[in-house]
Amino acid sequence: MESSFDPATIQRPDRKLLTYYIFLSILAGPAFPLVLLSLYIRYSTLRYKFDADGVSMSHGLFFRREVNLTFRRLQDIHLTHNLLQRWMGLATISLQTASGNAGAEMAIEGVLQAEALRDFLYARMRGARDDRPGGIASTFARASASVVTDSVGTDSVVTASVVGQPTEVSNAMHSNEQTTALALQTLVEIRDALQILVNRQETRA
Amino acid sequence: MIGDQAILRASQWCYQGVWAGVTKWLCVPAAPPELVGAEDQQVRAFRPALGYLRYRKLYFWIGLFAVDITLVVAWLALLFARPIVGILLAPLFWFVIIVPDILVYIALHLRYDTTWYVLSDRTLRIRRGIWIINEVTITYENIQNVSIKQGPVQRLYGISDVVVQTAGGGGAVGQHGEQNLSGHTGLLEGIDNPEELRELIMAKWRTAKSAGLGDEYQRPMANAFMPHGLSTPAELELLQQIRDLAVRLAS
Repeated sequence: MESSFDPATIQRPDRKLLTYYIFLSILAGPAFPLVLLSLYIRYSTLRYKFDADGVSMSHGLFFRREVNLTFRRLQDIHLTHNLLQRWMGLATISLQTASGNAGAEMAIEGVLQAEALRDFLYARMRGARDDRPGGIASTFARASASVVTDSVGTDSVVTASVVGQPTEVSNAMHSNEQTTALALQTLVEIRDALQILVNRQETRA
Repeated sequence: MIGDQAILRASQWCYQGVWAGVTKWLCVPAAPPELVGAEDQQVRAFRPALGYLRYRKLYFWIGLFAVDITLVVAWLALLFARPIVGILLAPLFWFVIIVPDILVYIALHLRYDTTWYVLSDRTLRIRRGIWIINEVTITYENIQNVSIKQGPVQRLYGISDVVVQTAGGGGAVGQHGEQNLSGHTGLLEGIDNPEELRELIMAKWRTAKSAGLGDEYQRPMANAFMPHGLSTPAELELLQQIRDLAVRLAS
């Protein structure tokens, strides 16, 4: 889904948005020329920029607006399409952050793959992924444990005879005292291993 | 009895025709919204409870009787006062009395059939609307409060409204939430098991570490190995020994 869709390529709204704006301004009745002009300026100056962390949108000729927001701070995503937009394959994606106004902070219009963009944003919103600290901490612990065993493994002839196997640090929860003791023990093991390496290098030299 | 069955079948058949037209010409998606693109498991899509449809129909019938009785009385009064005008205006009156009711009744069903709630283990998504389709996506982690509302008539039908709100200010929530398209709010109308939904969200809150404002997670792993840092002299000495060895190894 996401592989075929790259939001970084979205920089300008689609031409269909202009057609939609023309319809909108016709609906405005007597204010048609004014509405059309302002919507045309909006269309022609509308720029989007998606990067790794957030999105920015700018528009305006005389009065310029630029809105920046980060994906992580998104509160809710609204995907709205009225009948006209559905017929034309358009949609409005309204992004909300935790700011004080009821309206959307950013309304992304004129994107043809609106559903894909919405899913892209949703995947980056807080809470959509399992990036809670438990996950990170356990991954980190596993990674560091494997590093320890690898480095010992290469020098297993030396270390195993002198230092012995490193203390097994399981991922289970330890109390604070236990953790301190284990940390201290780990440090002692690191020092001993270094001592062996130093001795070996000095005997070679 | 057989007549009732026939009417029921005919109306179902008519409604299917209307539904096909709506999905085809009004581009209303017939399938429930999907949650894709994130790590969603156990996606559950459902409509409001059937009690919600009956609840809305109750208000429909009350409104229908109130309006139609007024119109019929007005027409009868006209008929007695000015018989010719009354007869001439009869088609118009009866059109106004009957046709909007049918349209509203169909719209009621359509609205029910186009309302979808999709829950995954991280997110809820609400789709609503026929002319303007609005889909809201809110992760449980961003939800700041959940409220359950139930009026006496709703209690009769065993349904409640569940309102979830994310951080941020905004417009007032309408009494029945009809035009409640203000941001920061997700409205789930006609839920027959609101406690289950509330528990689902509150369980997420209990495990979540963030305030739902996009804030960084507290990373306890930074201090997990040294809960109070390296403060004791023995630890410091050990560290210095390690540093000296490393320096000798590097030099």
